[in-house]
Amino acid sequence: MNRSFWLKFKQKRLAVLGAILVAGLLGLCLLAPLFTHAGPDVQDLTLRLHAPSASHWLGTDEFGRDVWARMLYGGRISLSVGLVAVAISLVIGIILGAIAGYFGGWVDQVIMRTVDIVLCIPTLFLILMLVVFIGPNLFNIMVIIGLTSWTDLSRLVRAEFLTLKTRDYILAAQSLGAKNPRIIFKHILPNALAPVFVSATFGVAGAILLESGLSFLGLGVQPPTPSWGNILTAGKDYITQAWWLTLFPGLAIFVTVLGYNLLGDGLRDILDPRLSGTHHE
Amino acid sequence: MIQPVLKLINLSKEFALSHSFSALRSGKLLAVDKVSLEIQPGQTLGLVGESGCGKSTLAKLICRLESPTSGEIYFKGAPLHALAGEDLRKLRHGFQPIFQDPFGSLNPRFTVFETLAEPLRLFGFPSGPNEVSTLLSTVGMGPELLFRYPHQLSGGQRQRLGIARALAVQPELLIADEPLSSLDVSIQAQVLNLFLDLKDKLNLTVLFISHDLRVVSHISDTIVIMYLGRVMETGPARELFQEPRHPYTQALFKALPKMAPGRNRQRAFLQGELPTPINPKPGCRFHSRCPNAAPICLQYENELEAVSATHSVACCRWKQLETLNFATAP
Repeated sequence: MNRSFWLKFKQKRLAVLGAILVAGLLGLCLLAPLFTHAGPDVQDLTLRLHAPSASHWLGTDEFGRDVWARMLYGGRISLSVGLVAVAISLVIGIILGAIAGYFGGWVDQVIMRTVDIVLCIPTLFLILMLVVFIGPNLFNIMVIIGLTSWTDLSRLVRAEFLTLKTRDYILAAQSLGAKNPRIIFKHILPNALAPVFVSATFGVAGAILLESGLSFLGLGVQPPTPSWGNILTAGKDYITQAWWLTLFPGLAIFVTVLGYNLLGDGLRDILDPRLSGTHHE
Repeated sequence: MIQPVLKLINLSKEFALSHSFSALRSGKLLAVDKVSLEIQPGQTLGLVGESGCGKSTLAKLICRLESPTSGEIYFKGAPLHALAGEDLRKLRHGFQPIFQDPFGSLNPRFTVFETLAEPLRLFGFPSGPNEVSTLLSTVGMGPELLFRYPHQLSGGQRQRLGIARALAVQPELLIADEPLSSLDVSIQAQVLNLFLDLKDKLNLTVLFISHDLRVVSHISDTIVIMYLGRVMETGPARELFQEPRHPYTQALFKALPKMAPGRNRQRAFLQGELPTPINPKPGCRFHSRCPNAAPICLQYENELEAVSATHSVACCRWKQLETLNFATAP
């Protein structure tokens, strides 16, 4: 990342907004104890379903727990599901895509047909089935979402490798006797990463949404551990009496997804040489 | 007899064109068809042909970036066509390519230093800033450019860097695939002179591929004319220039712009495009565009026939055709 990257980035107002949203939410959740003195699991049954007030900024839930505190600690869970799941899918997607694109031939056929098969299965049902078999906990959810969302990334990486491997500088490296791992990781991958990172930012938003959906169906992160999804789920039973139980987690998910999407959009515009001549300055 | 640095025997490369869903569009593309040539140490061989005639494929075959379909490649006696893996890798420093597009041939994320340190390290040479600076100075570039990226260099600088990278591993044979054609004319002269200097200084053997006859005849000892994957004519540069025997060679020389004001020369000697190399029809490859084509040409497969000890031509009618006289080389 060089100086011209930051100059271009600053010109993209929406991307900057996205970055601020993403960074702000990460900061709030990581530093949760600084922003609330209440614990996420502390119940006070005398304070059930209180509306937002000065002492409880976002009100309380059906057990009298502070929603603001639960939102912050739940955000840790939701964001880490998003980031870890995407990290897992990045590793799988990059490795398989790189191998398929670089070596081609039957290796490519085997990997890409596997991708086609995985894509045939509706992701949500696959995840639901897996969760039922191995049990819904934070670790399983992150791994399962990661294991089912690498297909797009592997296709993207493969496509980049297919075009980059015919460049003259790759041929030059080959005729200098560089070995395949060196060519893949030193020469091709760094040049293929820009669109991959863009796609990964969208992936984080997608994974957070997916976890919220799973929690909403009761197969996500299990209570009492808070996640934005299960706060929302618990709140739906009281939607007529306590609007704050559904509005705020919904808003948090919305803002996060918006933030990552804006950031991803901006990065794509900046990094994609077809949309702007970044490589030539 | 001295061993040639490079010797090709009946080298062919065929690409299978397959269409995934129908056999109708499949076929064979004969990019390089039974090419034989050899280059003696210290000599420059110029390979001339239109775009699409298989020059670049031939360069990739020699560098073993593609595997030949059939035929033999000997680098100083070592059978490159039969080697693979580690055996091939050990020999690779002996022959290095120089590419046409100086932007595409440099990794955009490598600085000048990284670009040049890599080949040094790969073949176990010292690769510190001093060694890299020395290397850079051999192509006339200063150490202040060491930490620049390719996009911060000019076209000429990039091509010099490409040459420096090839020279880093002290090769004996350079395979230069149109090294000048994407440069400005003024820069072309500079890079060409650098090339000639280095060739003499380092006693390099060069395969120089180009479509520019003037450049090729200026620097080559021997010229090979290619058309649709086949060798049409080969001979010493001087002889070929003065007595081109093949109608195709004659057409190429005729098409050269001449400094002759007021004379209205017929320029468009060759009609039409290069025919497709997919499933070629029998007969002489050139007959569809040859001004002297006769029925016999349809039965003739271009085999080289000796005109003199060093000059061969692949045309069945060369004896009958009047040779064009080029008394004065341009």
